[in-house]
Amino acid sequence: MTAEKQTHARRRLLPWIGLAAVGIAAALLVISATKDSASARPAQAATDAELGQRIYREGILPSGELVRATVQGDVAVEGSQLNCASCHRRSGFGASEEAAYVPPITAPALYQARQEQRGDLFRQLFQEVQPNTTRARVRDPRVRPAYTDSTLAAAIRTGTDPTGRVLDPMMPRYALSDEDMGHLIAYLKTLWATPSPGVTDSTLHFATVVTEGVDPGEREAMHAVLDAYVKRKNTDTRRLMQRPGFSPLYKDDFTEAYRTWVLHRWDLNGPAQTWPDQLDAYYRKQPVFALLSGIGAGTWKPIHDFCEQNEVPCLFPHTDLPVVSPPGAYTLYFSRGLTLEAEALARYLYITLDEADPTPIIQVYRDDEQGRVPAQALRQRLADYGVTHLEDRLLEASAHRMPAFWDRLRQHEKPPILVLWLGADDLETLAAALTAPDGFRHVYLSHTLLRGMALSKLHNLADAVYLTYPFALPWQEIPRAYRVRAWMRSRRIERTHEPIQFNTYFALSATDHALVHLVDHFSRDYLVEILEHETENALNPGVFPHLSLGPGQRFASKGSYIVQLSEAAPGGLEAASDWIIP
Amino acid sequence: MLGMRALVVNLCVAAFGVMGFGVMGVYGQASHHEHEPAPERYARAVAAYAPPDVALVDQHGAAVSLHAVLGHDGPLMLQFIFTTCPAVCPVLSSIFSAAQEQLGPDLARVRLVSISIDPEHDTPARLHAYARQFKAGPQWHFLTGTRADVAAVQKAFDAYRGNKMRHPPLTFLRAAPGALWVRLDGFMSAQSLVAEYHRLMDR
Repeated sequence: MTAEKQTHARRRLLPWIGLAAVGIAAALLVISATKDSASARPAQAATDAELGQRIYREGILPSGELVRATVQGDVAVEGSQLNCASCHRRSGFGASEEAAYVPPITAPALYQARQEQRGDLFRQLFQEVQPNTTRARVRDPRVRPAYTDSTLAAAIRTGTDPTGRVLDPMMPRYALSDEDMGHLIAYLKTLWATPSPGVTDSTLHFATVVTEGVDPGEREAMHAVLDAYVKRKNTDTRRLMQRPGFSPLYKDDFTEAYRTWVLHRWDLNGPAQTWPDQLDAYYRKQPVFALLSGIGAGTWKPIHDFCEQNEVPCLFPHTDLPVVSPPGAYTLYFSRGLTLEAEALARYLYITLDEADPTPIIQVYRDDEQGRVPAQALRQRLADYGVTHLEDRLLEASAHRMPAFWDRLRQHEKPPILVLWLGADDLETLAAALTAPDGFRHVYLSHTLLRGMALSKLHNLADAVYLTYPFALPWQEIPRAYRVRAWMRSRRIERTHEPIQFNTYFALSATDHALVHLVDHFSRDYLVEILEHETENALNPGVFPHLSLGPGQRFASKGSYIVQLSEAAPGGLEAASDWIIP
Repeated sequence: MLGMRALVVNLCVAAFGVMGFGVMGVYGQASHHEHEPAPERYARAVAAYAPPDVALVDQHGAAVSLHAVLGHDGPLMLQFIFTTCPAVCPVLSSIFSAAQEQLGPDLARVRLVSISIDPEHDTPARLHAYARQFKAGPQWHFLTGTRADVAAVQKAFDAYRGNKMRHPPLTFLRAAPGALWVRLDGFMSAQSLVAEYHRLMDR
């Protein structure tokens, strides 16, 4: 929670401190009973939104015990199984699934009388799947007075709202003490209580990050898609805003929702240690609602951390080095990048190797992040499988000394398996140095690290070479690819870097689609949640075989193939494995 | 094939007549009985299903055949879930969890099965953690597999919706291998699920 939000929460607490008197009295009773007068806290601290947040998100009470509740009449649940955020989500906006409609419980939703908004109604009737009971309810507008703290506490405990209606049995009836209820309600009052930064009445601000060292061709290919999409989007919005709402003959339900998109370019220069300051400076100058797409040449961590700190969604950047653990709340990645490739390779080696007669495995990498990260992941995962005969070799040799380096590696009694976490430059030198694959049983490379290097350059090694390939195979055409190509042609965008351009299109169209669901509730948490729900819905333009997220999931594509070079196969690649999910 | 899959013998709505009508009933009654549990609404049907014999993996990482799991020589209850599911699955799994206790001595012969419909994310390790979260006993099996195989199983039970976020809250019961399945669509109390179980076994 940001400091700004905390201050805001505290300010909102002041007017109802009187109401919390009962809670304080109860707290004092407890305190006097514990004899520990030192623990007596000042009255202002009686309710604490931070403690409430833990109850809400994790189902854990300030005492450390789990929250207890009853659902469906007689099913006892505890906080680890079911808590407020499980259904109402971190945003408080709830969710709509076929089986369950979970209404919003943000501060404005609870503490204002319920009124029907036409934009929301449209969404509920035509854009969301609803259980039949909810469909009936949506058509039968129900008014409800604003909750007070005591009617809210009653609803949470007994499931009866201020009109006397009984809430769905799926809503847990929570057994909370007055004090804990006070904390929870204090937190509920902070949910979407302040508007998200980067949004004005007319504009939605986004930014795209490109780091130092990114190939200019890749960068321009991405920007071409971004600019064309935003231009088209704004043209459509302008057209919609010119017609409706201003004519007695035409009614539009979304006049409140339309925003012009403004996309800022946040280029990060110099070493990665200086990026946080650059990001902060950009953000101070113009706060943005979310980061869209983006490319990183090395680590993505500084950008990831910036997004966590400022609660800014970072939507589908192109990076091989995402932050894999712990998962953040705000960055959605395409995959776990090189870590995924290394773990898939570990699984493949574990399955294909002969345990009784272990072939030595040697992994070669340079001492940079593209080398260290997959090398560490492979070592770790192989160790998990009980495979420990893995040797590491750091490549420090300059190009002209490379042949000697490879010759030394060949001095094994048994031909070793080579794993090379190396980029195109090193591999070209290697391919030139090795006239034939003698001396090595297999050579494993990362297709990602080839960076578009022509596969024909590996011709000398063709039979021995295997590649980790976390993408759809060349002949796995996904229908949406044709639509994206057609869209690019109609926008006169040259298809120079298809995977980057397709993935950029995905980031844009998925975000666009999710924003439609938001109507005018511009909450960043809600945006991330809608994307979690909707990523699976046929937006995949085909770089990956399948994209899917879910609550808390941060990596949309989960597996990798191992492929071999094959002149006969389309795209020059042939699958050597199934889709491996490590 | 269609006849096999959806031989609906009997369809009734438990507790409260027609679904849409139920809403009014619920709210009409509410003000008079504030602390009474709200009535449940779930639909019951009986059908024959022919699930394919796919190779799946359980929460311990062991390869199992679906037919071997479903061939359990005794009563069996089945649900489709996934571990990151927001509202539907925690409730479904909690109902199974509570039913474990309410089944009493019958628990020894009942097998519970939860199949993940998000198999690429739900690795055996994640299912194992989920099983612990819901205090699953040894008779409760959690299964995952490939996307294609799990989709085929869902389709066989008429439970496939494409997007996992739209999956219906279904619980399937059958008395013995080869018997017809009871299909419960909706959320119920653990007591109602156990009552359905006894209704099935006493027949």
